Amino acid sequence: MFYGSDVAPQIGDYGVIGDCRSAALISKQGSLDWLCWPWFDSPSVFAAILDVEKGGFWRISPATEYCTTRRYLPGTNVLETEFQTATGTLRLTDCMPVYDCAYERAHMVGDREILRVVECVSGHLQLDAIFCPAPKYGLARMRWRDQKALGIHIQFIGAALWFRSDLEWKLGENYASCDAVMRAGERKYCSLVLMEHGPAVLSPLSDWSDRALEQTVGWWEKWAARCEYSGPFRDAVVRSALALKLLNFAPSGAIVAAPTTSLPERIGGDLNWDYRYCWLRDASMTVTALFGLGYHDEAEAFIEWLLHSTNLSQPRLLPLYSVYGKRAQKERDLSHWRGFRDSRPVRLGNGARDQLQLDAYGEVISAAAQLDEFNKSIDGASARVLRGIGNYLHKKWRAPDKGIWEPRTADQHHTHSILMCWVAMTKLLELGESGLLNRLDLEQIEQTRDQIRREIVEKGWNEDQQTYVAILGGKHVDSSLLLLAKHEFERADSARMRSTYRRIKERLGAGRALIYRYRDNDLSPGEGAFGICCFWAAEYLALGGGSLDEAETEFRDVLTYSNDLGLFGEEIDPSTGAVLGNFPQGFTHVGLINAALSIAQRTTQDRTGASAA
Amino acid sequence: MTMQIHWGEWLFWGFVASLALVATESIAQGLGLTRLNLPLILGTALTPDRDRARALGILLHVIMGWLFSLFYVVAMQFLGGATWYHGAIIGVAHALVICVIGWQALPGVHPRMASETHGPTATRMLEPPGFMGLNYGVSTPATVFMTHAIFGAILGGFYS
Repeated sequence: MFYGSDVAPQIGDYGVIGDCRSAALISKQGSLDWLCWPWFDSPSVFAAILDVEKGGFWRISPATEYCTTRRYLPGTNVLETEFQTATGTLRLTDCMPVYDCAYERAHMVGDREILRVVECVSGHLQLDAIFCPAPKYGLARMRWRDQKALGIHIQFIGAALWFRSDLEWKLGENYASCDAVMRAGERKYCSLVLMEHGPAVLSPLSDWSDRALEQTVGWWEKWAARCEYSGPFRDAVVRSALALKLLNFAPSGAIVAAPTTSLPERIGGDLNWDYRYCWLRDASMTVTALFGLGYHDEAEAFIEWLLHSTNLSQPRLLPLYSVYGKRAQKERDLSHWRGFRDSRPVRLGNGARDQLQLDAYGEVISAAAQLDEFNKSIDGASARVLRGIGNYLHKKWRAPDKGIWEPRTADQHHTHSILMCWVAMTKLLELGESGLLNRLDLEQIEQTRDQIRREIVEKGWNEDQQTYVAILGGKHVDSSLLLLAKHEFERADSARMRSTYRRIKERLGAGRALIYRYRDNDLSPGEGAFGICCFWAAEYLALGGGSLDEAETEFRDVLTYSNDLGLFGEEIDPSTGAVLGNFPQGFTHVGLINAALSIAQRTTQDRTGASAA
Repeated sequence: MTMQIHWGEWLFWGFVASLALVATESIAQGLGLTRLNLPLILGTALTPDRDRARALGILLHVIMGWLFSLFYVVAMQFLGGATWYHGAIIGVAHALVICVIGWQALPGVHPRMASETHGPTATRMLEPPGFMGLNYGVSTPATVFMTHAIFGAILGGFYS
């Protein structure tokens, strides 16, 4: 009724803000359309992106026609949107405040806050602002009270929201609206806090909010400045690092795949999944990206989470866990929501929680092995976990599984899964030989490793098609085969890998640098090109599969598919370039960072080689 | 009537009842019945650092509960002796005073609590409880009555 449109904007029209505990999506129209509070996997407070009528939103924009430009303040996750109208310009600055520890100790600051600063930069204009929350996925019964000087108090079972602003808001039935006129130089503030346990800390607005904004900008700038990458793609890499940091759940060290659920991989389709969980399949690549950029604290915290927060299921590893290491919720549909542009069902929880995905074991062991590469130690408890996982995998590696793409079909022998078993054995051997992991039967691990290698070399290679194949003994390719080179199973410049790369481009190419993850078995017809696979291809070239120029060209081409803020979703619509799937997607940004790091390494190698020659 | 206090028993059961009070309040909070967090409210009177405030507040809350239990002991003597139901009745009366008077007066004495009249300032930002503590959830008064009745019942039931 209030949203002004029957459908939410395109997925790529959103920007994201966050505080390393939860994240909010804000559209180019200044509408906050997605926020699960207080944690990533909590019920939503705003979800108009999935249902414009029932989901709830918080829009601040001019009442008259406008055009928008937006950006992140450099080196931060503070979003700035400018609306140009015929009569004036409005600047909206959005953030979820974060503070350094010293400031938090000296000042009383809110647990969870969204701060929106509205400034009329020139001329004058009237606002069209609506605050319309719909807590608990739109199912909560709210009790609104205007508490005057304290603000608007919205109570519902389990928590309360306090909405404060120095703009004049009129209360309607379960919403508040503002049509104030602002003139050049005027600066107003809106603050929303949520409290589940304990009294809320209410923001006094004005100077206090400016200080919160200043603290937040400083906190992000300081974090971004730690990025050690200095190559030609620094802007894209830093933005990816910042996006990844937004997905980092600071209290536990977990990194969620994306802050959203059910943004579709095919518009109008049913490929809608809940990604507000931490997938182990992303582990080693994420750790490589974090270590590679110099974010050692985050990498170590993530490894710690991988090894110890998953202990309830160990030695078995589940494909995904909640931010606190619990089993993901059982999958269910939110039938009262329309879904993004009629993409139904909207799902909560994830059915992949019960799948066997062997690649997860290799990912976790490989992630932990990087501690050795960066001269960190492995403590006794972590060593026990690694031994347990290794022994379990030793018995299980021959089992068919769902593989990295977790299709909801019968288990099969996926080449990528078996590759990751080989990686696990290789890394265990390295750790054992270096003395970091004792009490391992190194001879047995070596035998298993060699056995796995033979299996891949013999059954994973299709002589007729001259390519590695997705399923042992099969004939189709999938993009995860590009990782054979990354994990050093095959040299990138080997004849087999070059031929496999050609085959992947030929069968899975979606135009320019885009590639699908798989195509041949009708598992998922109509989905877009897969973001991380495009970066894997660029990285493969950088690792030796092509020239440096080829790698850079491919990489630059993929970069053009980000949105205007440099953010990627899971997939890309090859025909329109539109973002598809949950957004922003950590996996894609990890792919971007790793490809940039490999290109940087190749640049150094080529230079060293040239000067030596 | 002669007033006789068994100091040893008061010290022990007053302490136990105070621990039970803090625990039941915490359980009620964890179950989502109320956002009332007395340790945080007490602790923030001393420090703006909320982690420290919580820890300090638990200590303060137990000490205050301990001292209040002395009043309960005296009051039970006036009611004819220490029994669990005398303790519970005093607990309910105590809760009534807290809900009707205590919460209303709190913003006036707490150095970091926002005033309902003037709103939050840079130094006073903590959400006030409001009438009957209803800002902290509609079940807050019931929770206060229940936890104080349990406090009194434990004290009355075991102190002799």
